[in-house]
Amino acid sequence: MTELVEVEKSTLIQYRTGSKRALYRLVHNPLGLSSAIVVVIIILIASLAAVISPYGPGDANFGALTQRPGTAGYLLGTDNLGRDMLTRTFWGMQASLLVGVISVLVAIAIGVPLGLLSGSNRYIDAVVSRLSDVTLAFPALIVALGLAAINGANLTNAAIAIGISYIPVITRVVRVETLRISALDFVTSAKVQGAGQHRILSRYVLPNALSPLIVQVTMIIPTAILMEAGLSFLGLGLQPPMPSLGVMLAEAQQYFTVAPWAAVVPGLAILLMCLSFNILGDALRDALDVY
Amino acid sequence: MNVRYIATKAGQALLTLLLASVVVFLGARALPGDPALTLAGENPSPDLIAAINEKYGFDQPLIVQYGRFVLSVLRGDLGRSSRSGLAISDMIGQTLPVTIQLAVLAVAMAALIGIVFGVAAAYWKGRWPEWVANSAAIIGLSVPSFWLGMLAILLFSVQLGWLPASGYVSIFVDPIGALSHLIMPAFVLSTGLAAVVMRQTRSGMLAAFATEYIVAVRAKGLSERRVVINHALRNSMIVVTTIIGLQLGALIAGVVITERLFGLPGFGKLTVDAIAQRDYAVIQAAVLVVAASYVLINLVVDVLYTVIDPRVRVGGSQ
Repeated sequence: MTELVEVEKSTLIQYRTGSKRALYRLVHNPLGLSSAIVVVIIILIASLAAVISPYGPGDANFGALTQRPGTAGYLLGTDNLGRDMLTRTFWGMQASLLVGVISVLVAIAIGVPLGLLSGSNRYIDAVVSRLSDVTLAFPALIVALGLAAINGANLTNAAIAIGISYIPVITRVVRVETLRISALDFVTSAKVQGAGQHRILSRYVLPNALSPLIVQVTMIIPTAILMEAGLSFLGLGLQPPMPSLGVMLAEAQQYFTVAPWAAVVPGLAILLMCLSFNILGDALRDALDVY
Repeated sequence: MNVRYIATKAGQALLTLLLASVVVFLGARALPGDPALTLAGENPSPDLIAAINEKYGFDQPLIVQYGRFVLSVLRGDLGRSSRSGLAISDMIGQTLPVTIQLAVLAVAMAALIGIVFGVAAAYWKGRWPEWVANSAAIIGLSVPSFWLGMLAILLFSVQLGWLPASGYVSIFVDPIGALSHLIMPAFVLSTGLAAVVMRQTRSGMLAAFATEYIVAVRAKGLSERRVVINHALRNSMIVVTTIIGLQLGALIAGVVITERLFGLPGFGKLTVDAIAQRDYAVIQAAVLVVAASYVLINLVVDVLYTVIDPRVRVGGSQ
């Protein structure tokens, strides 16, 4: 028993030094550091949208329709209903990030256990890989379509639909890691000492599979944000007048020859969010030595 | 040809297709509203509803209904639109060619842009072409394609007046006109795909440049152009084929959004319109077509491997 505890301690220490080294590398990579800072700012803006916005998201000022950016009181201008673009962009970023986070949570909650199981049992593996194929045959948009038809179009359904489509991705990553780590000596040694499958998967395999999982999550968030924008643009995501960047773009399409900024601003916000998450993901991949 | 490999893949595809059809069938039954009531129209008599239930078998057990569903789909009968009354197979037959033209053009553009940038990035590693290609790829992955489309319309249609902002002409009637209508949507649709192709091509090429056989051909005195082109093209073809299979879902989503933005009368627009009108029969058929084409195209990709990748041609079913 004492031996088992020692083995565990040593892997824990190894893991900790590993993550410290990764943090060191991330902070000393200028692109990685700046993208991490931008991501933190984005998260702050999104969570504090209600506090920092100069107006309410639905406040219309019919005396100030389609004002140009820089107009007094409207830093980024107003839309066709005289609503403040800055405010609506902040709220839209909140919706985007929320969809990104919920969909990742859905994908992880189902994908991680499936990946662990299919990496450790070949019968489960056969079933799970067929189910993954079926899931992949229904792109997120189609799942969202179905959910919207059954339950109505809203943020939660869009997020769940996007999350479902990423389950196979998470499952695959975790499965590959499970296969790799299960073959390592310290797992064999734990098995020899009588550790059960549950203990091996949760205490040995999962902690060591975290790096690729973190990288994958960082890569999924921007694609989920893009997909939410697309779904909302089609009217399958958030419903107006709720501010979503996709809804803002869909509305702006009606009058963007008159007020191009109404189309430029939300698009730039999406681009900025996705760019910083993607750059951070690349930097994390380098720092954590994943593939 | 590796017959066993192809047979395994075909069997898996068939199983996936079968499971997908069950999902579509059950999904359609989960939709709100009684299908018989929907078909009967306003204030139906109980006799009419009974007749409809009898005709379409809505009163039968689910498994019998599923059997009828599969049989009619196999006969090419996808039912009729509950709004227009048109045969759904005809509606799909009219819209699908538009979408296929758009998708093929987009994939071709993505392959061209992705391979050229990817090869350049790997060949001039650490110099400015790599920097440019990497930046282009990460922007391509981060930009919402329909936003890019809006900006393109603003620039090329509204400001410069070079290209039409929306509409469609058949490529068989007016090839030049068709291209001018499709070039902008196809480019917009290709951005994400091009970025993925570029990244994969770059890492594939970097790996190839590091192998001994490249050192060997170079030592043999083969020209740089042949070293790069012969081996780059071969490697990139495998990469592009794989990615098209993997990214098909994203491409389908992109098609729907792009067609909406550019007003193209394609399959994506048919689907979106069906949702807006709650035309469940059309939605069900559209979802089935999407799932089936996904499975079939991935099967084709798997079979293509046996042609272009010697490792699969000779080796086992990896």
